[in-house]
Formats: sequence, C-alpha cells, structure tokens
Amino acid sequence: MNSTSFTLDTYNIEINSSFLGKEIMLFGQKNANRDIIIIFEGNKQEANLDTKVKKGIFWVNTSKSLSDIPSFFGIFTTPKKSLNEIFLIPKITEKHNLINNFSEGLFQIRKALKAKGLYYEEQLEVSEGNLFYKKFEIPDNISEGDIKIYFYEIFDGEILSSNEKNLSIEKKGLTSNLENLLTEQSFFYVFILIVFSIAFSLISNLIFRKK
Amino acid sequence: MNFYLPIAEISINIYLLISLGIGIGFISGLFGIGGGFITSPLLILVGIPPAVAVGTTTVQVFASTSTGVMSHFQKKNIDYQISFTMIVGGIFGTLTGVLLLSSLKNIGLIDNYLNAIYIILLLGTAMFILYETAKINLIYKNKKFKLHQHSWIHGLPIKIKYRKSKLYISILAPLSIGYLIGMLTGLTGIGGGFILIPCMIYILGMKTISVIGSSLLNITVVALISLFLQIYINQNIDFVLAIFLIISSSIGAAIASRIIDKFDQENLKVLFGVLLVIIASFLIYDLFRTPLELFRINYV
Repeated sequence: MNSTSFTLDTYNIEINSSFLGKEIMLFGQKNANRDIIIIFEGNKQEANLDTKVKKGIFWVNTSKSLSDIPSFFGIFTTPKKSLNEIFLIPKITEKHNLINNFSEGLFQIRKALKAKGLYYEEQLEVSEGNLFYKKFEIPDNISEGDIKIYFYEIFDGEILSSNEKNLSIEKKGLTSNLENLLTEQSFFYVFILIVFSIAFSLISNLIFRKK
Repeated sequence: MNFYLPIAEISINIYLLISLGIGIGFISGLFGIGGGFITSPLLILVGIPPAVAVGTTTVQVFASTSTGVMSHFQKKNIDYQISFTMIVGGIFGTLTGVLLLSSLKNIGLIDNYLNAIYIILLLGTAMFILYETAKINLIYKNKKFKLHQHSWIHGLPIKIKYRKSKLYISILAPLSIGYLIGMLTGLTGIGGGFILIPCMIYILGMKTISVIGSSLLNITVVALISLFLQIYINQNIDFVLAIFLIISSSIGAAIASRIIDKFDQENLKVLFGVLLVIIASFLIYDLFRTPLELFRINYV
C-alpha cells in the first residue's frame, strides 16, 4: 500500500437466487494530517420520485420522472464531514449530481434513496492514527451495474490526490438466466410458465382428487 | 430463509411466500373463486412491486382456471358462441388494461389507482355477496324467485341468437362485458370471475349450468392473452414468484377441497364477504395512515 490508499474486501458482487444483500468492508491507510472522502456512485438510471401528499384525509402519490439517478450512493469521510462541508469543495460536488447543490429536489432524492438503503453518509472508523475502515451493506434491492468508487485526499479544502476504482454488481446463475430469458426470449419465458401451470394443475388434481 | 426474486428484484421470506400461496389457494378452493383479486393486493402488501404483483397474479389465475376449463369441456357445459364473443371484447379490453398499467407505472401513479380499484372491487363484491345471501334467504321465505329480468341491455341493437343458452340478445352486451373484464385482467391481474358470473346470470340471462364453464373459458383465454401482453409490454412476470404461487396455492386449494363439505355454504358466503371487507380495510388504512416515508424512488 502507498501512504494513502484504499481497498475493498471484494470488487465483485454476484446477485444469485440466495442474494440477500452484501456486506462490504472498505479499508485503507491515510496520512494522519489529511482528510479522506470516498464516494460510491452507482450507474445512472431513469427513475420516478414518488412523493406522498395529503389531499383531504387521504395520502396520495404525486410523481415526477428523473434521469441520471445513481443506483447507489455512499459518502464516507474522515474526519466526520457533513454535506454542508463537502459543498465547500466544488471540484467534488461538480462531479456528483446527487450532491451538486442544496436544492429541496436533491434532498428528496437522497432521502428516498436512504429509505431504500441505497444512500449512506457515514464517517470512516480510524484506528492507530492512519488506518481507516468501514463496514456497510449493499442491499438486496440493488440494481445490476457498476458502482464507481471515487477516493479524494483533502488538505485545507483542496484535493491533493484522487483515485477511482470499480465495484461490479452482476446477476449470475438462475437470476441472470431468467432475466435474459425474459428480455431476449419473452415468448419462451411465458411458454414455460404456461406449460408448468397446466402440468402442475393436472398433477395436483390427480394427487389430491377426492376418492 | 429468504429467496431472491429476480424480476421483482427483492428477496422475500420463503415461508411467508408459501404461507401466502397456501392461504390464497385455501380461500380460493373454499369459496370457489380464482383468487386473483386476493393475490394481487396481498402480494403488494408484502412488498412485491405493484406491476410485478399484477403480472405474476395473471399466471396464478391462468393456472387455477385452465384445468377447470378442461373438465367443463368434457362435460359440454360451455356456450362457445357467447364465450368467443366475450373473448373478442376481452382481447381489446386486456390490451387497454395492460397499456393503462404501463402508463400508470411510467407516471408513478400505479399505487393510487390500483389501491382504489382493489378497494372498490373488494367492497363491491362483499356487498353483492352479502346482499345476495340476504335476498336468497328472503326469496326462499316468500317463495318468489325470478332470476332473469328484462332490462335496458335487451333494448340494444345487433341482436344475435345464442342457441345453447337460448338467448336472443345484442352482441354488444357480451362484447362489452368481455371488454370490461379483460381491462380489469390487464390492469389488475385478476381473472374477474366474481364479476363475470353475476353479469352472465343477471345481465345476459344465461343459465347457471353453462355459466361456470363459459366464464372459465373466457377467464383462461383472456389471462393467456394478458400473459403475453404483460411480458411484451411491461416485462412484469416474476418466474420464481409465479412458480411458488402455483405450487403453494394448489396445495391450499387441495386442502380446502378436502374439508369444504364440513361447512355450510351460506355461512361460507358470509364469511367470504367478511374476509373481503377485512382485506379492503387494510388497503383503506393504507390510504389514511401517515406514510413512514414521504419520498420513494422507483427505477424505471
């Protein structure tokens, strides 16, 4: 390891039929006088932001379409930095749409992602002055696609060095096969379900038929 | 023990899913219904995304009705003429429903509308069942019983003879009923038998003997068409969830068929009405209660 660096315990997450989310261990070392900001930003997708609004006595949804919403977003810092402090480093905020400004709109998106376990704002644990680590969970509702990891070494509000890595999230096995079947051979996907439905109904009728 | 559902993109407790399937199958078997209008809202209540709940419920509806059609086919209890007229309406209705579902999903209003439709359907059916039970009791007491009465439906144009059912009615009536049920299937995933059967008896004036077989044929074919439309337009059928539901609900239905003789049919109807009101109450409570999260993000 260099004097300032980081790594993960895995760079590949497989979504298979037993996938319940995955705990990730992030760790590294830093110069004792420098601040560290690590940002995890998932691939960008189109999304709807639903907002519950009270109309009369009922709570109803209003919805707006959004683009470029990351599938996951995590900010890990040491020492502890609030978003307000990160906003003071424009070179970082310009690069990441979700923390681009103070707007209410972005606040709502961050809150919605947090509710799904897809947004973190946490402090890195530090031990022995220059080692840092953090455990966090990638939840089971994560979408397939890469998560980019941006590492920033900060001193006096300026970026001294930066580095990027990639965490890959891939559907594998049955999960991947079924999704491929659904998107590429939809007719066959339905056909199998139809055959199974009829076959199982006939079999269960035979097994459970009253004598 | 949890299992990852690849299309719903969440993991779900396998025991919860199996219990839900057995419960749905048991209720379906006990009350003689397809169970789609219970399956869909319950799947949403346990956290399955609404569009996936609708698509996957259609598979369960198809599975639970397809073998029934075969047995009615053997017994020659199907009025094919009326069924096919309704199916033609059903094809257009399903397409409308599936496209509506797609639009509601894209604009993010699927929860509001599905909730409202399920509440109306559940409460409407509950009231109808309870009313019918009370009415039949009253009719038996008064010894007056007239099942079919002439209504405005019989004044519609383009009349056709339906030989098996001995009816001379406008083709528009079965077409419209088929369209309405098809739209419900496409939009909500339900088979709609609990609406279709009263419509066939009380509006079209069909004889009870051919109503069940004909309605089953209509529901099965419309569900089959809906399956293909859902997969091509919305890609919202979860294979794993569907397989679990088919297996567990068949077991539930089989258990029900073993014990159904021990229950009084009239009491069962009342119990069914009450059950529908309870499920509707959960959905109504969901509209009133302060949400835990005010903002929710759904990837398209």
